[in-house]
Amino acid sequence: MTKTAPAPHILIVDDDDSIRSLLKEYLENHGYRTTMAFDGQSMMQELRRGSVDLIVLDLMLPGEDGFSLCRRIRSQRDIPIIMLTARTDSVDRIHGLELGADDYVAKPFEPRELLARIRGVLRRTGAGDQTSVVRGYSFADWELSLPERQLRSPDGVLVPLAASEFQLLVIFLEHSQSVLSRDKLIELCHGREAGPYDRSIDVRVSQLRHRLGDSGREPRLIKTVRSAGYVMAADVIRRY
Amino acid sequence: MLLLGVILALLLSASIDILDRGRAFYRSTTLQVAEHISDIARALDAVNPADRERIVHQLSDRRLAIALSRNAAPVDGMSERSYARAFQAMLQRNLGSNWPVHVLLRHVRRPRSRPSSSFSETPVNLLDRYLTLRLFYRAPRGFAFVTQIGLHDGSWVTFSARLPYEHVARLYILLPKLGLSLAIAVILVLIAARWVTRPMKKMAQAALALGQNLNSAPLEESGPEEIRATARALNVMQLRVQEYVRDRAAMLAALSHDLKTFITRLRLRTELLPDSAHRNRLIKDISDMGAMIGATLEYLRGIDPGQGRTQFDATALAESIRIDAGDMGWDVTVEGEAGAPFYGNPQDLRRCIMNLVDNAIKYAGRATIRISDRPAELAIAVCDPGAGIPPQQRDRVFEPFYRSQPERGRDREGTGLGLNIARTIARAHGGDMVLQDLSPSGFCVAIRLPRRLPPVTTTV
Repeated sequence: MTKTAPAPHILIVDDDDSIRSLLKEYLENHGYRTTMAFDGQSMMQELRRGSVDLIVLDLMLPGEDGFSLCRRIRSQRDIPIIMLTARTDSVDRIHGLELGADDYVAKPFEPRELLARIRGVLRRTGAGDQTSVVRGYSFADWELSLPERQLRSPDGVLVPLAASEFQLLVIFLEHSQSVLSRDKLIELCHGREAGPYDRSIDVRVSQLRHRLGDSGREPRLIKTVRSAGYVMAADVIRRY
Repeated sequence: MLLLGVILALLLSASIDILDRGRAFYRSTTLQVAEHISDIARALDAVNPADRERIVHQLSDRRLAIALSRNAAPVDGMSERSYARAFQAMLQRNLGSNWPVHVLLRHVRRPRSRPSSSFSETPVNLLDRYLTLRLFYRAPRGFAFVTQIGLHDGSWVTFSARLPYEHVARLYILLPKLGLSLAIAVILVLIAARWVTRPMKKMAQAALALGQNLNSAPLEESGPEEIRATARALNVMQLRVQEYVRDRAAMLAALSHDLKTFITRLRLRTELLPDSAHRNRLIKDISDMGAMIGATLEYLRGIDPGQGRTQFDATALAESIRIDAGDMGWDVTVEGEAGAPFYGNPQDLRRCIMNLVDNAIKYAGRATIRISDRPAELAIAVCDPGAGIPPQQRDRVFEPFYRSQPERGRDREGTGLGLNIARTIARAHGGDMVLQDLSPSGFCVAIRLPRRLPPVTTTV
């Protein structure tokens, strides 16, 4: 975290003393400024006191719970929130994201994963425009929901995606109508989540085309631009 | 079954009835004959001996022959038969003890040409008579009672009375009657059976629904008392089980929260340790422990059938598993494809297939996902070229926490829950799991999922 000039300020809200202080130390080791709160009330106090760039919010808190706090913060200010919970129900996850959380990390988490999510959320929200976070995309009658990581075909059938397929599709949808070179695609893939990539990007693109019902010869959605790369040619509508 | 029983009982009671009537008829006829004979004997005793011949002549007919004699002429016959004794007792009762009475049974020729009533010899009549004589009259056929009664002046009168063999069974009356009562009984039985079995059937369906969904509506407590009681018991049971499940869920949630908090702490702590081989081992152990606790809790929580169901592309599911596995460096291929979208929970099924793929990779190093789609059923088999599970272990592999021996030895991580969870998921979809050997070598674990229609078309 050398590129950020003023270290981002993260507010950690968790009722477990150990986790709170361990997280503080961990995040500070990675260059963040941190403040701690143990419940909703102390969180609100900290929010009033100074500028906070991101809140790591535990769901199970004494008194007012994380869902309710999330809703309250959203109605007042536009601070990105990462929800932290020991519950793994996908319903919880979707519920939290619907209430305006920007991401969701389940306990027990890999500290590095939390770090990656924090970076991701800060990059997305700090990119300039303060509009709310994108929750999904519509393109050529297809629907992609980001919180649920679900792709639905024009006739409403869910099309399960591999993690790498999902990632690649999101990249294409984020950069619709602009040509992405192979190098750029690889960079974008690696920049988000590290993973061993043993296949060429072309294989992945052709897989994704197949998943979207496109043929390699005459693709309608992801088109090949000769000696330049690929482009998402469909009109993409962002869902907030 | 019930119907058969009722018909049998009815036939039995009808035959007892016929038998009874036969006996009663025999008794009343012989009583009549006995009375008739006693009356004649008394009358003959009272009149002048000179007039007796004339009276005897007039009273004799084909059924009753009367003869007068000076002495008790010995007549050959069988006096010891119980019929004869019974008849003698009747006469003695009528006449009093001071009349000497002998009764013998003597063989006579049956009046062949003359049926006892005016029936024609139709098959029913023949059967009728046969039954009458053979079954119900147990009196010997073609015999007559020969009765000798001593009059007070010392002379004797001999009566020869043919045994009655009137039609008793009267099948021509009995048959329609029997038919009618049978028909009524059958109808009543059917109605009663329906009354009983309909709620039973409903209850069986409800019990089945309860197995599928614990929160299904309680049973209607109607019908016969026993059914109502059973329905009530089933409803109480459902409440108890719901309560139990709720308690267990709450307990699991608390336990799970605490365990996860501890692991999170541990994991953060290791992150703050200086980098070392030990730290890396520690991280690995904690992550394994976390995975195991996660899997165990998931197993204990069970699969909620019916939740998260949607129409999904099963081929894309298999492909996505192949790609994800490939990114982990696993050798997985997909064969076949699903022709139509499948209605189910794609997340659960992904986990199910992933568990099977994981096993195949562990034991054989590679896996093939075979999809075969039929109109009624989607079968997804995960096959590997390995030796599979030895037959003697096949029953045990579904036991939770069971791991086959080589796996333990090889220090492979794994919770021993994978196969069990996978089967639970298949069953939550109304299907099941089968293990099959491939010839000449190889092994498949297949899940078979019946195709079901979505209750309401889901729109997004």
